[in-house]
Amino acid sequence: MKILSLKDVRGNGAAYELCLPEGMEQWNIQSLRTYLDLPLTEARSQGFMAEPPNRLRHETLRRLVTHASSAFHRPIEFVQNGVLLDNLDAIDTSNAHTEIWMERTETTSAGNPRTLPLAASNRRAFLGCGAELVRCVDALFNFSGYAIHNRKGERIESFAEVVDDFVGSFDETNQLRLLFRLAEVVHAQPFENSSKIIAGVPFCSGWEMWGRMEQGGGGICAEKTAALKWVCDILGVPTFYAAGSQYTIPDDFEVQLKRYIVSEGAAPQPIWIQHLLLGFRVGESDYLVDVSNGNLPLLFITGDDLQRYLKSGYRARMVYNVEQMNLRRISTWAGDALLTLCEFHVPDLHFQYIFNQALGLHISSEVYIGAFFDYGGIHAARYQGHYTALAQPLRLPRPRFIRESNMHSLPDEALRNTLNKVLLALRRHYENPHYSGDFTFVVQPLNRGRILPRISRDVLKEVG
Amino acid sequence: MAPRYSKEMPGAEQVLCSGDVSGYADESWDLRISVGDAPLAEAFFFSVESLADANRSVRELLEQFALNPEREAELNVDEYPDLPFLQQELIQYFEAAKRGQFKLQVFVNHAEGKLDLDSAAITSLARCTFRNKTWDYLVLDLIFEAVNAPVDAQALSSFIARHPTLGKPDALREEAANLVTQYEKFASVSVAPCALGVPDGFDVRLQMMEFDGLDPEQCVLVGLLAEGALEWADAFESVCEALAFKTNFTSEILNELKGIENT
Repeated sequence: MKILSLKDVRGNGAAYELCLPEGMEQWNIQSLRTYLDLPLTEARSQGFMAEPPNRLRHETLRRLVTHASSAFHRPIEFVQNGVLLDNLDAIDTSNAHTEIWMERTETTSAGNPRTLPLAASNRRAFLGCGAELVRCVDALFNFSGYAIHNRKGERIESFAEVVDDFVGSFDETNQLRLLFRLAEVVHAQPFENSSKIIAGVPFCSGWEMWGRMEQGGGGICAEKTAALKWVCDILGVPTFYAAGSQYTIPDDFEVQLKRYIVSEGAAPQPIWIQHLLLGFRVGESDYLVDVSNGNLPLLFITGDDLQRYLKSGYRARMVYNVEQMNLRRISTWAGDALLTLCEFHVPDLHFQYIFNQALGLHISSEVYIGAFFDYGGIHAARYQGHYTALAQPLRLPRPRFIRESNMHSLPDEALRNTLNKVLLALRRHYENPHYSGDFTFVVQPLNRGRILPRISRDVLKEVG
Repeated sequence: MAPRYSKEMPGAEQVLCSGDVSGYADESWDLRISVGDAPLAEAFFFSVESLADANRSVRELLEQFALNPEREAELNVDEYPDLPFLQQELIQYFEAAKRGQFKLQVFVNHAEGKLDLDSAAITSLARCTFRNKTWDYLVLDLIFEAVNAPVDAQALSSFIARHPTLGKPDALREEAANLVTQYEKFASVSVAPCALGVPDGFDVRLQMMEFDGLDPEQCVLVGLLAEGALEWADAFESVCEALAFKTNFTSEILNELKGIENT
């Protein structure tokens, strides 16, 4: 099996892979475009022999190439060894590993950023690999333990049974019960960046998140919000977003965001949004949901609670401190735009989450696992002193510092294996040949107790 | 005896009043509750309008004011919309303790010993002053703590089995004194740069004992037993707690600290 790697050099630098049969020496560009235009099952039935190693990731590639404007990109062009390939040209795939670059057509307009249909992309992904996504949702949902009934009183056994005419086939109580359970499921998955750095994926789409969660992985707040948004779009549930920040989110935030996108990144960046929540409507009621996990409890609020949270924000527990998180309801377009920018436009976003934003590799109510660039001497001592000093006044057990030389001291084999993989991935990802240091992990036990979910009484009455 | 909890409110200073609440006669005051080591910045609070109510017992104030669901409407939900959720949690916590599901101990922040819930609140009030002078108010700063579950019997037996031949009291005292002499210099160190005997530094004594090939568990146990007779279960709990707070610096740092010691 040969590998064809398509690297998005004008976007976030992410690479997408396709496995090709051994005997395949070249691939015509027009044929590649046709292949990517087709859902995978249809592509197979038409005789295409390329296979993505990850079908859900493949849907993200399809979105980028066949609906580039939906990802705020100009149309994609392919380049091999510095040569721009037109539709009649062919990629030379004679080597075991072939890399081609995805460039942008400079002569075409970037398109109107107002016409961004994330819901349409979500539905296309479901058409492309619905069976796999249903399998993932079913594995996590536990339909046998959590009863959902349609209007005929029939008990639902699979997500596949709810996707057609969800709003028509289920009363509002069962709609809410299903969405509540899905929110619980997404929240229960870990808040982590390690699976992304190991896989080399800077940010996961909503549908990719379901595959990742089914494998035991998780993501950060925006990725988990994207996962819930994907479900709502498949079910036809109307959605909105709330953006969160330590800073006041200005009234003209969406105008700033649009300017930034129209200018293709040349205009000043809008205010940094730290947090993204999803809202949706069932019947006549709006609900706001935070499924981040980490140190944040499941939030599922409606009515006055929702209005108060939007007006005053809330106190959010971080690893070492509590921050005031201001919220602002933003349009579906703006929320979609933020997710799309994260997914396709920020190089090294997973790296930034780990280091620049100090989210580290994993946060739960029990432990924080961070990482730092460790180039020895006073620098290493400063970092160790810094983390130990943070733990001391909070009466937290003292952190452990794990590097390659003492990795064996970790008693938990699964953690040891994961950190080994992360270490290799970080070294591979940070390709600076002059870097003479390494990476050290900080394992900080947290003993401040789990915060219970924040669920409005009206929701509890419905979901039991 | 050191206070069980000394939590700080970011940007504020808090001092116990010892009953002297002059200057706050016409002001409302707060009854604040946090659980265990959870930070104050996310704590629940309930504003009590009259200082006269501070003469009531803490129990009365909890049951009739702060943890009374009928007074939910008095919570400052406009600024802190999470307060009703916190109140519900605390009510469940308090009620579960009353039903005997676990033992609840209540402490006052910065104060020594457990609080008697039947004592008058006024004796435990503290002044909380924000350094930027925006707020200056009285607060009854309570901390709820569930008493730990009984020690895991299996873990306790293996702990006892690991220490079969501890010496007699005199020998233990001598061993403990030797440990103190040898390692006291590592009770407050800095690591960047490395220095011994700094104020408010890191206590690396246990880690240094381990670095020198000693068993830190045994060292803590020797110290405890040298102070007097102790039940094995209590000793086990204290040892576990001490080991949780053992530092974990890398060997380069420990070597450098040793180097300073030797100069």
